[in-house]
Amino acid sequence: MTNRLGSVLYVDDEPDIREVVELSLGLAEELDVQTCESGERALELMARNRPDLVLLDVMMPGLDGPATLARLRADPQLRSIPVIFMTAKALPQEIERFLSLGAVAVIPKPFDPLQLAGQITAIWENLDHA
Amino acid sequence: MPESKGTDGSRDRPAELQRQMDQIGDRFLQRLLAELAMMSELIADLEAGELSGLKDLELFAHRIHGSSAMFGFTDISALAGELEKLVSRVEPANLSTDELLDIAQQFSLLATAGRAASQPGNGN
Repeated sequence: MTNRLGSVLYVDDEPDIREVVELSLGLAEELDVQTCESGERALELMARNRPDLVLLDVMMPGLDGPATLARLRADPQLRSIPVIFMTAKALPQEIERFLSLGAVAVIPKPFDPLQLAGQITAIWENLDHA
Repeated sequence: MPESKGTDGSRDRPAELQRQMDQIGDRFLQRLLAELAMMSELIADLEAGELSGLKDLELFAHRIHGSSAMFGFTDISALAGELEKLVSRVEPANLSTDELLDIAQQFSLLATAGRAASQPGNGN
C-alpha cells in the first residue's frame, strides 16, 4: 500500500482546539500537521501546499466549513482532497447533511485526543485512492 | 496506534498529553472570561434593540459549547449549547420579549458557571 497518510490540514477558529488537535496528531510522528484559523486561510494554504487530508470545523466566522468545502470542490486542483468535518453539531440528520455535501466522514467533538490520529488514519485507509 | 510505538517514554504519552490538555484548558478558562464579557455586551445590545450581533452571539455560544466539552467542563458546555439553540432559533425581524428574556437568563446561567470554573482551584 503506497497511499500512506502524510499531511493533514486542520481548520478551526478556536485556538485551544487547534492546539489539542496538533498535540493529538503529533502523537503519530509520521503525520505532517498544519493548522489555520479560517476557511479563507485554508484555501490559501492548500493552493500552496496540497495536504493529503483536510479536517474542517463546521461553524466558523467568514467562510464556514460547508462553504469552504464547496470552494474546495469547485477548484480543479483541490477538489479531490478528502475532507472530514469535526463538529459539536453531530446529530444524525446533521451528519447526513455533511456527508451529502461531500465530506468523507464526520468526527464529533469532543473527540478523544489519544484516538484522533488512529481515527483519521483508519478513515483515510478506507478511502478509494485509485 | 500512537501510544503503542514501543519507543522509550511512549508509555508516558497519555500522562504527558493530559498535562498539556490541562494547560490548554486553563488558557481556555481565561479566554472564556473575556468572551463572556463580550457576550454580555452583545446581550445588552439585543436588549437595546440592536440585533446585528446575533450571529456573533451564536458563534461565541457554539465555540464555548464545543471547547468546554473538550476540556471536561460538561456543565458549561450544556449551558452554552442551550444558549446556542435559543439564539439560532431567533428570527431577527420577530425577536419577542420572551425570547430575549430566555436568552438573557440562559446567558446569566452560563456566565455564572464560567466565572465559577475560572476561580483558582475550581477547574477540572
